[in-house]
Amino acid sequence: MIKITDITLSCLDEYDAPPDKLKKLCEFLVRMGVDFIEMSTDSYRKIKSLPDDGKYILKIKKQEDLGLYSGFSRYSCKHMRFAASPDIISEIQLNDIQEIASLKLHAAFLENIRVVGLDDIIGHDYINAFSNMKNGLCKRLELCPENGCYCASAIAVEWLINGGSYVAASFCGIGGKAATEEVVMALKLEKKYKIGAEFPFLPEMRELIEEITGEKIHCGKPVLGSKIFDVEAGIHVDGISKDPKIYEPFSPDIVGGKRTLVIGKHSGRAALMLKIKEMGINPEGLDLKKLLYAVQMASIEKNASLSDEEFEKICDSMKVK
Amino acid sequence: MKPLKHIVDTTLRDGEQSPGIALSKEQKVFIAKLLDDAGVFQIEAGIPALGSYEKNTLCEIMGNKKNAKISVWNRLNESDIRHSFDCRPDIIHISAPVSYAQIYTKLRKNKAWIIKKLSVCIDLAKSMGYEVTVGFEDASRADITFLSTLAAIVMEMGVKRVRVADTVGVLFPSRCFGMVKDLINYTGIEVEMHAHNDLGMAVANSIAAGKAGADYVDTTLLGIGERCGNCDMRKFIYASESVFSLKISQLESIMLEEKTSNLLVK
Repeated sequence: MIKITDITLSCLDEYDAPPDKLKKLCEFLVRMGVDFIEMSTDSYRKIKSLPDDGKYILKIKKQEDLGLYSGFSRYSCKHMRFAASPDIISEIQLNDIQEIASLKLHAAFLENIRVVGLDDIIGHDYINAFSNMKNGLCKRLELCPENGCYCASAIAVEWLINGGSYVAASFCGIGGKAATEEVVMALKLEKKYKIGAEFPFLPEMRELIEEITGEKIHCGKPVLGSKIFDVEAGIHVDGISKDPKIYEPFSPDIVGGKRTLVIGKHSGRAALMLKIKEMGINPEGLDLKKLLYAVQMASIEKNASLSDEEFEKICDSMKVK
Repeated sequence: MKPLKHIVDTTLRDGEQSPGIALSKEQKVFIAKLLDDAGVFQIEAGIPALGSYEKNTLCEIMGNKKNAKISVWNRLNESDIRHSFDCRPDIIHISAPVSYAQIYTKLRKNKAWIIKKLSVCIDLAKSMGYEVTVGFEDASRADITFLSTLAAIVMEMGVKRVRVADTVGVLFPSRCFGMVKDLINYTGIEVEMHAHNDLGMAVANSIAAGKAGADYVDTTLLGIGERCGNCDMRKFIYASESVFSLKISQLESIMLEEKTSNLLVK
């Protein structure tokens, strides 16, 4: 049983996001099908009415705030060295694998623990460490790995495929956590979670997050990037034209992406022919060998791939009349 | 004592072939020099079969190099390897498709054909006195028995190192660890890990491979590469410095990024 909590809405307070955008993001997270959606009190006050289909966790600053907000599945709070109500997920920061032993002290009086941190655990004997963490510590132990060593999504997935049940992550890894979409997609490919699900709305979510944070998401960002299905290299174009599975880990449709044939320095003749056909260019009078050389030189000159217009212009200029 | 791991940088081959990037001869020569000066063990500098422009570039990189080994990438055919001879590299790397999808769907051949063709290609490169490494393309979706068989065959032919390529970036660290460990245990061959970042796990998989005994790790500057890119050199060094001994420091990797980002950022 795998349960994923998305904590994006508790990581956005610093951005002063407009209420309508937070609400839209919440709706997208519900559509994504994560098991719980956590939000800060600031986000909750802005969203006001939550979509019906979700299960929600409220992140509170102190246990006394519990009485101020009702209707949530659970509440989360940084652990303050007191016994917490069973409704509260107590967050405990562990910066080092050696600190795992200290969990036992907390487990004696906590039912729900979220371990945050463990950035560098991949470099250690993490399978054994996970085993120590799981062994009868508490009823519900959730891992929220941090991304200080660029391994958070891998840690989250390893935790889940090695017997852990609960993970907390954020969309696009906001706040320095595991990226929800990477964890979900990895588990989906492994046939352990959301097996039949598709997420064609991810590009809209990406744009929404860009609007909220004011930061552009890198075009090569795993699962989300706008150009992750672009293909230029001759060998890859050849493979994809035979069967996209040869060079794609999953179909672009699943994440609302689009495969794009790009022409540039690394194109091969087969790719040129495909592009010529795609653009409806008349190939008559074109010498493919000469065209390929011209494309390579133009691309090097530009220090980038060519646009469709630039490619068409080269084709026109090279036609034997 | 931390185990020593060698960085094999493929910015100028797998990195450059990602859409949007096109480097000139001068730019490739410049980047190769920076990588060499920084202490990178091996630079995979390009693909001679791309043509005379690329070959001239590779020849110049070979002419300038100081300490790094320069390798060139080849498909599984004799013609590619003959192109490589023109560049006189330190290492000829031959990429052998090993998964079902690659062998049967892309090449429309079978495993016996791969073994035979690979033997011919290795023989050809070896006959000219070259060091050869073999890449297992799409190894993460291949059968470990076939990988081990192939590794044993190439070892018999004098190949000391194989590259395990997670071509479509679908490995997890524990599976990566198991695959590399099995390959080393079954054959004793040296392993080079080549990770892609499609699920955001390239750094984690490269660390896992190193822990399993891979002595070589492939990286690119700024993590550039097909789709979501390759294992990012700076990130790998930062994340693994406490576990592995690397000949290149965090600071050097940061400086490399700074000096090349204007050429490599799409």
